[in-house]
Amino acid sequence: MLALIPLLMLAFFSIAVKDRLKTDTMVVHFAALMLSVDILYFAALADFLRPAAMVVFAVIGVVSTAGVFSVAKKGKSRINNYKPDVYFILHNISCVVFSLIFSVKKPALYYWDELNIWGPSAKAVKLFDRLYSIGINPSTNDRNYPPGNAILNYFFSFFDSDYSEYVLLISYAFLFLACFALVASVIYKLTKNHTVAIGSYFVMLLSPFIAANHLPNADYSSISYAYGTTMVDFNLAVVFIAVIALYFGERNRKWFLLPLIYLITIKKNGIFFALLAICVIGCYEFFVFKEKGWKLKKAVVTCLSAIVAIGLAYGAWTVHLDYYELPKQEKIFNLKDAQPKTEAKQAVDAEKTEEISELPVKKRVKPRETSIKAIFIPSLRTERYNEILDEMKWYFINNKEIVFCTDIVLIAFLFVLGIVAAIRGKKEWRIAALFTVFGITAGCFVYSLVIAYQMQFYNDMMVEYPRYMLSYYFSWIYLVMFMFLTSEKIRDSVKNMLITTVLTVSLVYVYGTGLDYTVIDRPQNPASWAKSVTEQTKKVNMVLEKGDRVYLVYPDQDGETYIAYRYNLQPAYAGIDTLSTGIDFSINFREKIDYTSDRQYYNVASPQKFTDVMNTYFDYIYVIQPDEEFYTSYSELFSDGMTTGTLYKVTTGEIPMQAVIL
Amino acid sequence: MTEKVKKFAVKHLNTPQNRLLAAYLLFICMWSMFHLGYTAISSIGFIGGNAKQQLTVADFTPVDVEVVNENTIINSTGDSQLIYTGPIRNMRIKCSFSTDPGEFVCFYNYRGNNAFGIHRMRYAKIIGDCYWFEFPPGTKQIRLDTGVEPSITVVFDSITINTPTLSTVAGITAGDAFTLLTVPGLIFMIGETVLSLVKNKKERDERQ
Repeated sequence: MLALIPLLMLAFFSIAVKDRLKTDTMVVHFAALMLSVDILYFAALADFLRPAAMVVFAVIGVVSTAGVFSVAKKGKSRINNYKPDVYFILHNISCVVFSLIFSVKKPALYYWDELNIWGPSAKAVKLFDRLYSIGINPSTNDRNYPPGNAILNYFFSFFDSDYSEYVLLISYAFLFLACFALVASVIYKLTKNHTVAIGSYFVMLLSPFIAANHLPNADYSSISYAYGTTMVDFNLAVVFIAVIALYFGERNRKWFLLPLIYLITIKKNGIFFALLAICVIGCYEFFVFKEKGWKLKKAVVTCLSAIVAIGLAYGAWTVHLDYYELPKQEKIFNLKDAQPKTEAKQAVDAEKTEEISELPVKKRVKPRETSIKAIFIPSLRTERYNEILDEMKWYFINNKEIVFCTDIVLIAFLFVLGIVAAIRGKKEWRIAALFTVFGITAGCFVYSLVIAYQMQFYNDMMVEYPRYMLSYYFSWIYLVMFMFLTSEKIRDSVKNMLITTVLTVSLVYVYGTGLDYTVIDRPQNPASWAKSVTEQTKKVNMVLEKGDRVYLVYPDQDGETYIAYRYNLQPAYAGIDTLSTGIDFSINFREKIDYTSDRQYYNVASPQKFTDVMNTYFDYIYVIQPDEEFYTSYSELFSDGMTTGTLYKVTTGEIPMQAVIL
Repeated sequence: MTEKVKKFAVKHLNTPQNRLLAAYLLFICMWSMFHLGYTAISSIGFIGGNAKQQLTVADFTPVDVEVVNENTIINSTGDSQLIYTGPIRNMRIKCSFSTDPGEFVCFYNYRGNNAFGIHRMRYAKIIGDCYWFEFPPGTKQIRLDTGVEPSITVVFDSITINTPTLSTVAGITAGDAFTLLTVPGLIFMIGETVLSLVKNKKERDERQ
């Protein structure tokens, strides 16, 4: 519940300064949140995360206190100036309700990407007060993942002494609710219609459930659990619409740059959404016809400033990655030749060599790497790229994985609704709105090509496709909804009726699918496994200290066990892959085994070499579950003969691995 | 009385902020009265049939289970089950197993139609020497899985259902919390629409 402190501080801050800034409380609140996380992002890149956070909270605290004194001083007569608006109240009520549910339910992370990327990165930043891209990476294998979610968690968990999964989820929820309330607030500002604005707030609040509920039993992806997931795909859509809303809410200020910068720190795909937002804003800047003519200069300045902002933010990230990249270390050990081959093994190898020599010699061709140009030039695409595009076409026409209908129906509906909203909108905005509608429709096609490129690049399976597309479709849904509800020539009564109907249907739909497993609740089965790992590692964590290096022994090639333990043992470095040394421990102790093989384990290192490696690179060995061959090869090195679930201290004694009493 | 309400409304519900807060306050009061009243009455058995009861093995429908006596069963397969049909909010079981049951879980459904799935399942919480299961309001049927191995003997010392607890009487589920968050918003929306219609009508009348 300490996550409420930053929220409360922001609330007081917003109330205190909104009069001076001459805008709504919700706008100030959202802009202040975005400014804070942007400051933390840039400070974190320079490795000044903690001092920057302290300064941010000190400033918020001082301004809030000054605001409270000022209100007290001015007395009752001016108190109305400080009254927060409806959407700010709604936002805070929602945050409190969400906090209560989360702190009681304590939803857990369990999905692969959550345990491998989104959870560990946030945990690393919280526990180390620095980005995971600096020094040894305690979290993921890939230090290139942008840190937006981790920074957001850092901001809201600043007053917590420890990291909690549910606080990470709360921080996401706070972001969502702030974006929704901001959009509602701007809709009200443009329409002066509370029914429409409040309706849009609740429809958006329920939208993650609507996106998730169509597959209630699918355990594949935790995105199926609405607010109960740390996957950031939905965040992109939510922040995208907040950028647009802030642009319309504060047209004479460039405040929309704040969420725009945050957008690119969420995920690499964020760049696409940032550019999309700039295109939409560009349309409304270029094609808005005023009495005195086209406002070209202002439009150019706005778009250029946005491009410069995201260029700076992303450029700073790449510079940071280069600057803090650890030099690859020389290999101290040559593990491969350590153990003489058995006679049987030699015979098998000789046979294989003979077989190979009998085969006709073929010229080896390096597999073609797909250039990023392939997104727009079909001739450059690989076979896999084209396969993905074909499958996408099938999904597009047949699959109902995003909302209730197939993608093609959804797109047709959004296009038509967009056109209606554009035509019935403000006269001066009409051309801009039409450009936006056509642009976002074409953008969907481009995004599909980008996703296909990304999927073939990372060798993703098609099962990931709906999740990736969800970001785009919901950005589009929100944008069309925003355009429709703010259109001038659609009568208020029609809008009221429509939004009330949509909200009622949404409520009935969400309730009808069974709130017990779709609301912010951990899905019992997969989460219980993840929770059991957390329970098992609790005692071990009491012994381990920040930065201790732990070698994990677990069943061969069981990646999920590895990532779950590595995540739970943080702030120790529990990696057996490289520990940023450049030496891949996970493969040097065995031969590379293909996934389709029967996973035969083969130790390469001799016991002496194994001991030397452990002494050089690790402080502890945690035996989660040794497989038979590992046990046969190395059990003599362990003080109790190696037992499952035991932590061993690596020493230089006669028996090097000494069991630690937990 | 109506005049007083009108005066109060004019004085205190003059801003949308106040009207929104009033919608929340009103709904929370109404919901609390209904929720607390209904669950309190149902928990002592006046309605809904959620009265505290002691059960024996005979009250369950055994599936792949050999019933030795009213307190003892032996699993015939690795998927032995005891099914109980009736309104149930919680179950406390004091029992012993001949060998580790592996998993001691309970499935539930709202329709009593023998349809069970992993999304409606509870693991046993161990409280003292008892196993404790808690189910959502409206649960009509449960399926107790008595272990993942055949030949496990389970001796039940006691099975108690529907023990009145603070969480069953005053507990708020995530669904309840959502109701409390969203429904007042809907009330506010409808209220604002009505208000704007009334205002428009007034203005039209005045103009005429």
